[in-house]
Amino acid sequence: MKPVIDYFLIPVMPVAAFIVTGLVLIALQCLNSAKLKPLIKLVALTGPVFAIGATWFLFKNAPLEYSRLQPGGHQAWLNEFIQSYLLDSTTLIWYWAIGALSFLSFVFIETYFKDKEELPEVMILLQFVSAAMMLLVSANSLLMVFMALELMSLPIYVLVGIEPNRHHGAEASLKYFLFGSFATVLLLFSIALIYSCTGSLHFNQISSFLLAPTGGNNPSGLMALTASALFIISVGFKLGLAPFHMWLPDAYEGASTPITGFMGSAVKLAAFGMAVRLWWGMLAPLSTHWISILGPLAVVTMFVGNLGALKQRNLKRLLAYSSISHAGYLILGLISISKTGSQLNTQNLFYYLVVYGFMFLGALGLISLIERSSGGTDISNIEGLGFSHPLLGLCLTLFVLSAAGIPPTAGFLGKYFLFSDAVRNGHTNLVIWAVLSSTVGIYYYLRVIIAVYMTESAGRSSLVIRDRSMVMVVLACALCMIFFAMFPHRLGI
Amino acid sequence: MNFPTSITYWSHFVTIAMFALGLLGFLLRRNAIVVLMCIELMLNAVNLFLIETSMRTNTPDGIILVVFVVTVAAAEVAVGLGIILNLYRLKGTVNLDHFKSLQG
Repeated sequence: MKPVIDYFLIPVMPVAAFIVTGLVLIALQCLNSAKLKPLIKLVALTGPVFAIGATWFLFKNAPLEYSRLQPGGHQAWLNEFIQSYLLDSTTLIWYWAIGALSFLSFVFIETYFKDKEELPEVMILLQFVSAAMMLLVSANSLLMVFMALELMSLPIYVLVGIEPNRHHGAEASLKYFLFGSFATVLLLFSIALIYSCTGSLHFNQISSFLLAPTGGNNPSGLMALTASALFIISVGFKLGLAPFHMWLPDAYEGASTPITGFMGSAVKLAAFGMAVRLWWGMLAPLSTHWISILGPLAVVTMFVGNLGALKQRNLKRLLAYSSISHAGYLILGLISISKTGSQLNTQNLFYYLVVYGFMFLGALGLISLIERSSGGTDISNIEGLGFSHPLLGLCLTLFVLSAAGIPPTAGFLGKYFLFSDAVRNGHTNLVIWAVLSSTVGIYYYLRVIIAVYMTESAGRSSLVIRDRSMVMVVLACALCMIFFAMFPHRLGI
Repeated sequence: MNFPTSITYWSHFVTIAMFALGLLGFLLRRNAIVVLMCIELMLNAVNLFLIETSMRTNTPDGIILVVFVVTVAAAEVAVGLGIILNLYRLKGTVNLDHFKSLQG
């Protein structure tokens, strides 16, 4: 019998970094002293920094650390935990991205909330959201999926409505809460159905049960099919797929701008990580069934997103609809993941997610700068930005071109990788629809560029940029985009 | 397996009835607090199903999950009531039909 404090704790360090930071912040907040505010701001950033450091450490000692998570040789409850936690090279790469996106978002959110009294609460909640995101992408059992998803969602419901004076915020958070908890109930119901027909919550045991020759055809197989349909609905709610996307534009518009940036970049990445784990880690034996539903759903999502964005004047809402259409492309990438041996080839999906995450965060950073100096997020607020602030205008152009998928940018490469993957896996007809819908999308992306460069800026050049660190975040995002475009394979596995 | 089938039958009946009632209430009722209660009703229906399955298949996983679900449901109610209270302070109503400022 080994001691309770086992070396198994080392592989969980990235998650623990966020949790410990969150607890320290709660302790500091309890002291309730105004002098501690700078300290809180500093401590809040140590969460992602230590998480990235721990991920780097695990990366250096990879085989040893993976072997610590082999079941056996531990106490019984540890074995149970270890079986529901997956750590491999793919997961570690996702950890990098979550750490980096969290760090940038934290800087951004801190700058936005620096004069507001909600700052400590926001930073505490964010630490737990980030920890849950890491648990989510390495979940290997349905219990872990449920807990991590709830730990991620509940703080976000609060964060959307945390500014008391933002009328839309409270309403958006109620809508998000109701839809989100309905999705949670459906997810739990499908978990119960899967459990009822397989007798287990662990992905490995479930997929080996479904692989058995009778798995897809007997009555319990029918139950598994029902469960996978419910998974599509509930995860579709979380990802913002088309018939279940109603909450997304409202939540993205109502939330404080940096929170929207966080939701659209890091949280989206983690949600797709969960979808990969659920569908390819657990339901892979039923893949023909759910691919036949997810394929058309992806096309509907792209069109709903792109057509919905056409008439938007509010930049946040426009980007929210564009985020729906990107979820469609990403689902196309999700269903065309292939396997070599037991390893999933998620690089292309991951590349697109990371590029999209930095793009979205950078664009929201810019919108937040504009909102703070001009008081609105309407498209008329950015008119003439290219003349008054050439560098910021250039950054916005880069983000928008990248979202549209215009060639020299990283967004184009991401789309190219995703679509070529899909063609290789025989989804050519879906790719044709995807290309058609991205042509629709170019219209509203170009409208942003026209506002930046080709509109007379009558009296609007008085844009005052007050927050240097927000500008730094935007520039960092733009530099990352350029880096990804030049060295796409640095992100490969 | 000597788990009585009548228990399976009746617990499935109660599960489906509770879940359906919760779903109907979620879709039809306009009061935010009642909608929140309907979500809890659905969660508890699933809990019942999990407990029954756990006893039928003789595995502990389901009952463990139920403990977590109850905890999460408590947290969810706390968050939900907080959000509803915040909105009530701002708008003076908890009727979902009155929350229409975000459209398009």
